[in-house]
Amino acid sequence: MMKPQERRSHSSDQHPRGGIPSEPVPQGRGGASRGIEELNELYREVILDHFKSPARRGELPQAQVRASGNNPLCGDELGIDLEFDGGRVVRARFHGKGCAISQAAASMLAAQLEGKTLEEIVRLIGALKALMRGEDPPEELDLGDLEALAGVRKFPVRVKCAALSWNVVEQGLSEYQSRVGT
Amino acid sequence: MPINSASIRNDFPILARTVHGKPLVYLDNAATTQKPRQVIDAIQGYYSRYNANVHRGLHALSEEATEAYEAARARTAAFIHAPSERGIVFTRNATEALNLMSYAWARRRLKAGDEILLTEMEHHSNLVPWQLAAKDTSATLRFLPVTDDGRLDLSALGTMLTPRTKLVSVTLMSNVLGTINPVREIADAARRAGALMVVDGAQGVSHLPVDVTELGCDALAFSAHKMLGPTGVGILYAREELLESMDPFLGGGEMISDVQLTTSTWNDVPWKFEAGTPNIGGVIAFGEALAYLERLGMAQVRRHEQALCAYALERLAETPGVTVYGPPGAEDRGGVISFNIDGLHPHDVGTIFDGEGVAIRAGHHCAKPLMRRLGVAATARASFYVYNTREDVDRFLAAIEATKAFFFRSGRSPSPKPVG
Repeated sequence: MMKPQERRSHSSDQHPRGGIPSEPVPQGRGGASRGIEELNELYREVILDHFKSPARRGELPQAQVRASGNNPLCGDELGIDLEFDGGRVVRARFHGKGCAISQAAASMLAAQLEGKTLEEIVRLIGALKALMRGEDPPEELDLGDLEALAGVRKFPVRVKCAALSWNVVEQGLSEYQSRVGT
Repeated sequence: MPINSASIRNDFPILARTVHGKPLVYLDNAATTQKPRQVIDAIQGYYSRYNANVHRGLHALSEEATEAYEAARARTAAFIHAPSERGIVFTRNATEALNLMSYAWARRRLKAGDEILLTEMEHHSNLVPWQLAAKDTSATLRFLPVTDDGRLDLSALGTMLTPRTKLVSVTLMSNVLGTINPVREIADAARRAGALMVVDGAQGVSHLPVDVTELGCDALAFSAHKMLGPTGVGILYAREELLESMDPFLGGGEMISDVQLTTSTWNDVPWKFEAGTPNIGGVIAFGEALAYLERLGMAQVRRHEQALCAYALERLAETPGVTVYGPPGAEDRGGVISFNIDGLHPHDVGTIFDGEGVAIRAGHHCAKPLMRRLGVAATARASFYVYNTREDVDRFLAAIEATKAFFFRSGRSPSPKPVG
């Protein structure tokens, strides 16, 4: 589900320069070294907190939306359950196995989904996709902890880890909508 | 002569580069190996001096290309001690070689009630082609189990091999655990049961001395790019009589003897199985890769990797918070080490390693059933080749410490929950 421009930036990042090795030897990422600052930006404290102490890890067997998915390339697995009441998510839980980014993204997303209507969720997911493309999300939209995912953009290989959570939610919602006919 | 990695490294231009400002330590050799200048030059030489299609032209370029292409076939046969180069078929990769056996043999010979015996440690490429064949023929798949320390449980062989078993396919060396399997023992049992013995040598042929007669196999699939050669070239060795008894896999140019509008007859083996223009430059360059490995000697390659692996395993055993999978000793495994750092997912480990300039693989390694058997979602994996040194192992161990320091440093939660 990657956008073409994401795919391009992905491959250009993995292979900083094509062709036959020449002098000077190519440096990764245009000569910049991947320093501790960049890694700290990827693994912000709030991401590690969600990874290590996820408040919404669990399942909701009676939930209207029970979606799951995986990243075939890395094997990460994620399920997200959403309980609706009066058109709004009242409880969100996630479960699965995966890296810090995928699990923290799911934890942060679950927290943000609670209290939101379907339309608000669609807007939020749109903003998260824009964030991954390097665009600024609309100012009026509160991303909460999810804003910490901005650091993932510099690691194109890891964008799919974060995107797994909203891809699963999108798929679950579309199944839900076709089921209830809204 | 023992391998001198320090001087070998000069042959590999890529090893001079840096990654994120640090000298590259390349430990993802089970995925693909780097290429020496000799192989790169061979590709360039073909395209700049004698690029032409093979087996067709009556001109000098085509003759030169055909000669070089067929010389690589002869070298490949000699490398695995095949009785004749007519048993060597060039494919796109090892996966296609296994699919060739699945399509051209299994799908046409198997019937309902027949059984295919595989193992729980197979790469998806030695699993999915047989699943497809089983689905089409209503044959049944059975699996030799894997022990907790990552070996095949051969005690099950007696009950798993029956008169219904028509085909056995086993990896010579696990791409996840490095386990070197007792293929000869399995092949002998398969022969007694009347089953065809196929071996996935994608790892094994790259890292071990291989003699197909000693292995006792009917067919062996392997891959050029995992042994210093270019991508896009795979090899299927099969007994000549077996190839002759099989109908073609793909149809087209090159593989025919005569073509009428409604029927055709087939070229001789191995060309019967090489439809269309092959990867000529790649095959010729692969011949150079084989020459390079011959000069080193595969017994020395094995010795070198075993020493590196033993050193790494010994140091890892002293490293707290690291779980290593697979056989405990380096004598039973090729230069592959799958591991996890407690509390961390291998993808997060791989990202920190990359920042340190150390390239490893992290994930399920195209062996999801084995991951389930090991009870993990994924592992990190370091794998060695001829140009790796003890210093590389030291940088690898330092990257483990850097990873632990990054995630568990003070100010960050000291007691993460285990994952996977």
